[in-house]
Amino acid sequence: MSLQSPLVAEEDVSQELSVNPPERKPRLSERLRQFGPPLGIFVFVVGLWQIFVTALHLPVYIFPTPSAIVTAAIDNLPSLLQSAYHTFISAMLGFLLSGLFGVLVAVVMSQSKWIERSLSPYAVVLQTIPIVAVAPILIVWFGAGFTAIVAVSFIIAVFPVISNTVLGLNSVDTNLANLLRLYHASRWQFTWKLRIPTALPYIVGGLRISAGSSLIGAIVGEYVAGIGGSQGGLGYSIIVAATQLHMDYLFAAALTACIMGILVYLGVGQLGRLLLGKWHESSIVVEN
Amino acid sequence: MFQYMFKGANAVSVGIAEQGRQTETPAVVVEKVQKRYASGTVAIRNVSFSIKSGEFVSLVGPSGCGKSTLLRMIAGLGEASSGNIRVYGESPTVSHVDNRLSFVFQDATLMPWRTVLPNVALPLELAGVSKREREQRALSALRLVGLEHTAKSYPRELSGGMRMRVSLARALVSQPKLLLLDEPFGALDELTRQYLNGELLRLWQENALTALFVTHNVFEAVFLSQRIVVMTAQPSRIASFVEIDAPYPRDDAFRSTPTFGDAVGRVLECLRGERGMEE
Repeated sequence: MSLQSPLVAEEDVSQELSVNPPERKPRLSERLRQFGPPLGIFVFVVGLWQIFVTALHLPVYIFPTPSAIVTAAIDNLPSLLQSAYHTFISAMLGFLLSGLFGVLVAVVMSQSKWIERSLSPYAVVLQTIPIVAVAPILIVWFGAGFTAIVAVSFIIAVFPVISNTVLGLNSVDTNLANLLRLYHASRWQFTWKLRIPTALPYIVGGLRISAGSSLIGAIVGEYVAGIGGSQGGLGYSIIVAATQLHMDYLFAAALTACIMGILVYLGVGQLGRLLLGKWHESSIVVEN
Repeated sequence: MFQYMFKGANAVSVGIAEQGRQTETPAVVVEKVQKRYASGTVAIRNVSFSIKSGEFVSLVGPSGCGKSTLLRMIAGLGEASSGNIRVYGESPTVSHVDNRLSFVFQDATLMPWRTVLPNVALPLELAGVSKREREQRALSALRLVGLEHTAKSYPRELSGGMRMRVSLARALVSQPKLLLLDEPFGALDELTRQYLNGELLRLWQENALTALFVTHNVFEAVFLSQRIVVMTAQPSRIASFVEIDAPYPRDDAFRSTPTFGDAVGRVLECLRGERGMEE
């Protein structure tokens, strides 16, 4: 704590100054303030982990130390990156399909209460489906490969997009709707000029959730496809590492998935900023 | 569909067109109108009045007296349970009537994802006017309210008063004859409100508009109108009509004349009198 206090004092001054110009790039000290605490926690936990596991003499196949995990990752870097790449491709395809299909279904549902009522139970079914039970069926249907893995990823990722988009499409401002009625807007104009722009922030929110889910879906798919999944992938690496009790490599694979998840999440955030540009609160306010 | 695009030259009658009363079709006729909701509550009971072309009329009453509901029905947003509403001799739901009227909402009702210019151009865009023409006309509508320089700003970058002026520009872009305003300045501070009242009168005179203005602010109604329709709540009906006998153009000095004070007194009396009868 004493190590950090001079830094904190300096930040407080910059915070005071930053009140006047509202929109500008955050300074280094502000970035430190933003990323410093989580980074501190990380260093603390990892340090504690290393010390405890070393002190208790736990074998690698029960509980590897962080240093062992890093070593395992570096030693197997080519195959780890290869697996990560396969998982990434399957997940992103599942994500892309769920984004397109999810928005499309939501737009169709929003066209009439009748359609919405007929379809929404099935959208919920998609969400409540136990994916571990369905994944083997998909493997049987599509074969233990790319298609089945993308399908699992899609099934997990599509619901947040549908449900958020429907919510957004129905959140239209009453007066704006009246305005469009007054000028005899067609159904098409209503959808394109009012409903979809209104829903955009909600869609971005749905995509954020769905991006992470698509990764989980891809890994579950690979896991179930198992050895048959010829291409590998992180799910496959996890099975292999688990059966061979390579806990250090298993951890490395899981952490790689985490890092990928974070990167994808940040990527979707960037996409949101691009889509919502200068008008929506979520992309205007500097988060800190 | 597009005939309103080519008119605007027929703007001959200005403000107080008393002599036109016999020959011209009234802008608005409301005849024995009732509005009953599905729940059975009667929102409006037997209301009748008419507005001459070129007139400025305000609808004043306590909240819940159905004045906004009435205004919406005149705009064709919602139908009367019984009675008759005519706008330029036709049912308000007839589509080409809408091209002759514009509605200004309680809040600015701008699309936050659009900059000012496409917001103002929206009515033309919906009617299928070409991009180039509608931008030109939106720009001249913005010039009317003195906000040309904000064309590329987003609504959130403007003050409440400026947003309302953008909303007025959008209402004027289709060159309507009848302007329906639903408490448009209710959310603004007093000075901004007074400034916009002056602006509205100027626009009304320069563009030979007919205006129906809903408000619960008696001072605002007196400042703007030639005639005030005073409504009461429960049962919702018309208490009386008050004529404001003062010439236009009216400026801020009008607010301190005896005529103004007298008119405010009469309107308040109508409102109070009715309440007294109720309780």
